[in-house]
Amino acid sequence: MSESLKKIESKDRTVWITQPNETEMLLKRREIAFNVAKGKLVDSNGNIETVMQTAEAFGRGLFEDYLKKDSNDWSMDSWVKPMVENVFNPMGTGATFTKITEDEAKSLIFRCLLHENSGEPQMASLFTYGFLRGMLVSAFPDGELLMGSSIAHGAPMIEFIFKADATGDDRIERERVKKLFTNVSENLMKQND
Amino acid sequence: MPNTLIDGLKERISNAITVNQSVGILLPGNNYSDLIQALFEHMRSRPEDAWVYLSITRSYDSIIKEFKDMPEKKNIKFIDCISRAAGIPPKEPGCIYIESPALLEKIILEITDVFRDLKDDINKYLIIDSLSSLLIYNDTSLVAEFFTHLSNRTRMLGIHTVSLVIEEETDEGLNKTLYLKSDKIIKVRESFI
Repeated sequence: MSESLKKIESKDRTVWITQPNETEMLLKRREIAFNVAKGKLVDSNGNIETVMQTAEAFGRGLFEDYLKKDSNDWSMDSWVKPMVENVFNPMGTGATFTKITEDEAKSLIFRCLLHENSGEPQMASLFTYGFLRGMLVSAFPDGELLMGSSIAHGAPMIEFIFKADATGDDRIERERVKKLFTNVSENLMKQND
Repeated sequence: MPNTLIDGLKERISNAITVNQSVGILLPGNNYSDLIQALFEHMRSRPEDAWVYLSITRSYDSIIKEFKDMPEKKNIKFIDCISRAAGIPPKEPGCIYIESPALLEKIILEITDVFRDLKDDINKYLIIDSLSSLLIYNDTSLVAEFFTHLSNRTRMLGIHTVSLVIEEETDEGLNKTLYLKSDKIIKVRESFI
């Protein structure tokens, strides 16, 4: 594979950094899905679950179109590389992966064009969580996406942990994230008043 | 509320860096965005001083999307340690792009070079955003050694330094070095502002 993830090594530390190279088609596709999610949020009187479902459906679509062909039997490290090449890089996402193993990957997103261009960091974070989760569980039905820090809450980077096998505690993450972003609906409804 | 927070931070930073040669700022990740706003406002308010902003956390193109006037500020130079590693093409002549955040010696050389050409009677400031982000790419001992070396060099050249450390990213070893090499430590806590 061409260098979709660049390895950086220093003493006993190894990390991998994405190579963002935006393509108009994928950016447009994401923008449309993002706007659909916003529209559904308004139509549903601020039901966050509709955003999550729309974003997850978008993520499942990306998996079908760009990743499914690569394998029937995924491991986390075999999933991360095509995901970065076909989704992160064309979306202009700058991320550092500090861990990639058979069953877990950890990433820190330092450049997210959706956050930068939409002017709606809360909605962008929620949507990004949703579509990454949709892509992840398409490959790992027992997996879960955990969200650490988020730019929308003032942090410098968004931290995601991709897990192939979720623990009991991990399984409540989707609901936790929805609660974290309840103000998304309040803000959007205010804008539409 | 955010404006009060930013104003409070700006005042604390302004007071601290005028009197002290080296200031360490320890902050929770969720206050990063407010602190950066305060730092940029402070830089804007001091056009007679020379500033170097070392960014390991975010790419320069992301920074100038948020702070659009920065490329016009001739007294503020940026050193971007992340874009080239992520294959983001350098676009701005006002920024120095380092190949990788693991090239610590090169970072020191570039900082020294930028300040070398300035007149002696100008106040010089270096902002490191952030020391803890260097830990993503480098071992603690290397970052501590880098910071010690850099602090000695900046002190010798009469450069004031402001070093950011994000609590969630740091470790005991780096904190120890920060305390040792800083004249003043600012601990950011919303309740103290």
